[in-house]
Amino acid sequence: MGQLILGQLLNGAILGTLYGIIALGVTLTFGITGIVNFALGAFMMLGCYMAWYFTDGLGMHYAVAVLCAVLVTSFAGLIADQTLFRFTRNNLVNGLLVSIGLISVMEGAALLIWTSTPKNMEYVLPGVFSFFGLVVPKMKAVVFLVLLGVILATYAALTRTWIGRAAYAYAQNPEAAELMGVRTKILQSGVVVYSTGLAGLGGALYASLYSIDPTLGAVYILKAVEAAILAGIGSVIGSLFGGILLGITEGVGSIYLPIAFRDAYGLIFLIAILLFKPAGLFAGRK
Amino acid sequence: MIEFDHVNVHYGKNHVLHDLTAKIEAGEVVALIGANAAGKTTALRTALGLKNLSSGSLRFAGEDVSSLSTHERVERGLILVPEGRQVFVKFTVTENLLMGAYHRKDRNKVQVELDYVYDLFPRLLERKSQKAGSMSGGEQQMLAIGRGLMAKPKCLLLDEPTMGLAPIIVQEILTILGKLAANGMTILLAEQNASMALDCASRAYVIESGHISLEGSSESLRESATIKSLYLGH
Ligand SMILES: Nc1ncnc2c1ncn2[C@@H]1O[C@H](COP(=O)(O)OP(=O)(O)OP(=O)(O)O)[C@@H](O)[C@H]1O
Ligand SMILES: [Mg+2]
Repeated sequence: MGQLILGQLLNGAILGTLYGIIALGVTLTFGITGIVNFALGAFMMLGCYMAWYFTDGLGMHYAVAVLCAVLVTSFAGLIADQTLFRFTRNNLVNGLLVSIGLISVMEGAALLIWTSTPKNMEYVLPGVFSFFGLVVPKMKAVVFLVLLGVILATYAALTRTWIGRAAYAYAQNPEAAELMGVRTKILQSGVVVYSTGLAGLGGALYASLYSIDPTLGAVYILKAVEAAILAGIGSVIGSLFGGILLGITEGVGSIYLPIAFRDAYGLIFLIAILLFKPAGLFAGRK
Repeated sequence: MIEFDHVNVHYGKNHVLHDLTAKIEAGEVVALIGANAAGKTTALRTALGLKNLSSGSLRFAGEDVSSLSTHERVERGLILVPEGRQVFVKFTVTENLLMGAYHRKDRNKVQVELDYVYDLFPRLLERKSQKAGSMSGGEQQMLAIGRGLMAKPKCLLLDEPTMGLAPIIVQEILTILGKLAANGMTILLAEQNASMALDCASRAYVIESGHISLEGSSESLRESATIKSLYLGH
């Protein structure tokens, strides 16, 4: 039993970093452009298909394929920003409508190109690590570490670099930041694109572990928004912990409760937390 | 140094600035005096490009800057210390000051300016690691001015820097402005308090409902009947 729980903890944590990387995009986009980009799940899906296509279709090395997938997704993000999101700054409702419309378009296009039949990538890194009787597939460990690294690096960049501090200053007081000479338009577009790139990375890594289909983004964006709210929206490091906490809650919850309701445990947990800390667990932190 | 030339500004259909014409030479301290809703803040925001002008032009350091974006004006040394301080509440004092230098090419070598600001405002030095949001209004105003100075301004625009502050803090801030003026800083000071503004500045413009109604040297304005009745309470 102990091992089962430990195993689920580990699985939950790994899945949690996937929620976390999307949640990071949700939180950054919200902090800088004032909208919740629900289409980030669709960008994750795009990242999945790109990684699959570049490896199994074009025969690229997986690491190169991930990089290319991130580039393609970011470029798609740039187009979406310039044609759509540019017009929804600080308008939550329009942002919601536009991102839901974008989801339909992207999912529809994916269905048309790749059909609804799930695709499975060739194993990238077979084999397992086993320690203390626990078994972790090597690839899962790699995905976990890469996502963890990217989230922590983003956090470090936000606190230590000029552009990061400008972003954080802008989130606190947009006009004052503009008066410091921050190029606000570029910053906003940059954050939208970076967030889609993060979602693309999450997707490209996801594709090496699970089978992919055009609608997979829906669950992930919901979990990511849950994780972001759990942490207190605007908290970068919180989106990591929020994601992991959510993943673990789901993992451990499904040992004791029917697995069919797995997606509900996190939500129940979220409501419970918000009852006691309405601003989220990491309210007031970066 | 900075020149408003027949500047008109609208908020929707509301005509807020009417043919505003004003000029500040390098090294001058000039006041813009006006009551509530006269258009002082609008004039300063227009100078920075936070608000678009509907007609007229704005020249800064010999260049028409009317169509430049805010960051381009900031890069040229036109710096606004905004109404209501607008410090970054979650940043420490030092982090706020560093943001002031954000636009500078030499922003990684600002120790000299940092020392200068801390020398002007010893209170800020005592609180350098404190979060700006937890400071008093007066301290935040000092921080806002210090942050403006970190930008190495060629011309410093101040929007009611003493509003709502205790008399002793007001005095402290006026002393600092005097020091800056003595060092040759070009300053445009927007104020409701005419007597204070006239003490600081060598010249002033009086703005009423978006029109410049009076202008002249501080001495002459102090004697003017309009000023006396409207602003000095005589
Ligand atoms: N964002 C805005 N939208 C619409 N009208 C505005 C806006 N800002 C200012 N106004 C209007 O423009 C006029 C001038 O306002 P402004 O803030 O420039 O006055 P002010 O001289 O700075 O006043 P105060 O001393 O109260 O700060 C007022 O009638 C005000 O209602
Ligand atoms: Mg004002």
